[in-house]
Amino acid sequence: MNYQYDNFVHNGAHQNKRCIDCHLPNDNFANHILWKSIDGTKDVIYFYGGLYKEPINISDHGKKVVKENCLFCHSEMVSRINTESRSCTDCHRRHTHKHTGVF
Amino acid sequence: MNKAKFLSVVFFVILFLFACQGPKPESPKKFEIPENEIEPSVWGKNYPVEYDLWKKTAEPKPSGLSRYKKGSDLGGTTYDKISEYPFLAVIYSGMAFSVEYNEPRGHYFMLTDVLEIDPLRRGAGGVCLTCKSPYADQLKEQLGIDYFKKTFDEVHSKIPDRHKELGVSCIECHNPKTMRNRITKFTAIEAFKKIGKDPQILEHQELRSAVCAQCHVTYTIPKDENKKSEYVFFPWDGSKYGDISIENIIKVIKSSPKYKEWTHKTTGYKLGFIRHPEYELYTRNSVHFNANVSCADCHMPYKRVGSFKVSDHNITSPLKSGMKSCIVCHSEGEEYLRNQVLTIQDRTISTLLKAGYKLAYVAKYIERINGLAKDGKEIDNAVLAKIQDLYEEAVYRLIFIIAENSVGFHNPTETMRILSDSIAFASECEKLTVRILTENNVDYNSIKLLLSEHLNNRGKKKLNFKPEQEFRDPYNLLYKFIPEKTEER
Repeated sequence: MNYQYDNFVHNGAHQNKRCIDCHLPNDNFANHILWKSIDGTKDVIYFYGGLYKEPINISDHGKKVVKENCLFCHSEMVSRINTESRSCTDCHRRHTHKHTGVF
Repeated sequence: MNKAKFLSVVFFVILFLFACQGPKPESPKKFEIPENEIEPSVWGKNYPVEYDLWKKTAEPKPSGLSRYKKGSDLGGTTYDKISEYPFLAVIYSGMAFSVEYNEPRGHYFMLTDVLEIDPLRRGAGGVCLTCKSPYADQLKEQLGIDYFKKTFDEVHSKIPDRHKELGVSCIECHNPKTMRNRITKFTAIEAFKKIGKDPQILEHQELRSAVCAQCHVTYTIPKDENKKSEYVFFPWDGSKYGDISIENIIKVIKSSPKYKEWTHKTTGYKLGFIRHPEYELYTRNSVHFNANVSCADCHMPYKRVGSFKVSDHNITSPLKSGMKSCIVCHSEGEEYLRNQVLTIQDRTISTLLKAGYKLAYVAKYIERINGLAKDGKEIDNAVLAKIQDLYEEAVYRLIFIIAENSVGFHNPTETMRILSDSIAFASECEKLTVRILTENNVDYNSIKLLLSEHLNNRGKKKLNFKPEQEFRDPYNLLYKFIPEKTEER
């Protein structure tokens, strides 16, 4: 995740956020801990087992979690619009790791 | 640990988990909007921000930002499409469009524009109201076949006085209970079924385009023996969702003599017609459609109002609203993006003008051939039929792009494909016509469009050519083929 990390630290928006603020569920503590253990274990196995391909891509579950976290913080901003059909980054592309930062 | 202590800890843990979820903000609802409420101000009580933005469609947009679509620009000038594209006077001769044909001023004026234009343009009858008034479905229920057949004024008089000039309003796109988008027009409901989509179960993102497709599409008005309108439908038979081609549309128009709505004066051909096919062009594999972008994403971008966002109901071209909807995804600046759009439109106009003039000259050659036939010259009927077929193929493709309101931007590559096909058909047709003319010792070079006859003194208002509004070929190539001065063509 060097590429993603490098881009993240050069990012304008969301600099004071941590990875898990976007990439783990933050709706309640139990859910957060549950997915922290699942994703953490998966990452260890994939990383040390060399089971991943570059460039890494986000999973469908991962996309859902990120979208929920966007909506969690920006809930008032989107309170009057329908957010059901797309992920936020479909349009706000500059907030994805690929399109942000300098790398 | 005793039981009571344990339970209280569990209680507080559960309370803690739920307490973190604050109440979700919701829009203030004051009262239930009645099911059939047409008056927008009633909807506006619940949705004041959207209502105020919708009212802004009445305001002119800053001028000078769009090069080819200036109808809603500040200054109150009426932009005359016949002056912008003078060859249209020949292509549409014998039809009301050649008399008065203006650039639209925007949604707010959609019905007013119809009422103010030359009465010939309302000739189709009550059927015109299908898109122009929210009362269309009610009137159709009430009047049955008469809704299509009776004169425009007769059907229009049945609309309540306060809404005589009301154009598109909330109820046509929204469900009053949930505010979800929905399709209400009978034409669109039938058409979506034809392309294999159930209009009741469209996804939200599909609906954000489908509501526009209720009107921003081409339609056909079948005529009875007395040239009275019988119905109105979208010629989407044989097409699929995301793949409504000009080829299939032409197939439908050619399938019945009832769909030949007008007679072209210059050539004498009975022809069908094509109207503003924005939805068809856009959804046919355009890069933005394939990226899941809807009409509303560009023409009604989300806009911050205080601490929340709403869809901008002041619908207009992104060119006239600071390219804001483009910048959401494309972080290049406004000027860069504007240049991209205008370049596509410049190229479209250049090709469009060449296609238009080529076909207008061909129409004049056909007129001359008809004259020769009248004078008793023998001309092979099979060749004449071939000429008619080629002309038809070329003219539908030409009208498709002229009537489409984005000057190519909605789908640049498809636009160029359609225009080059139009030129190809027109060239083939030209080859046959020129051969016949030469065989009969007529110099085709002597045949002129005689535009000044066509362009001046049009209709009740005695409209004249406005030379300052004519579109020039941005690449100046057109004038290698035809005289630069309009009146010499």
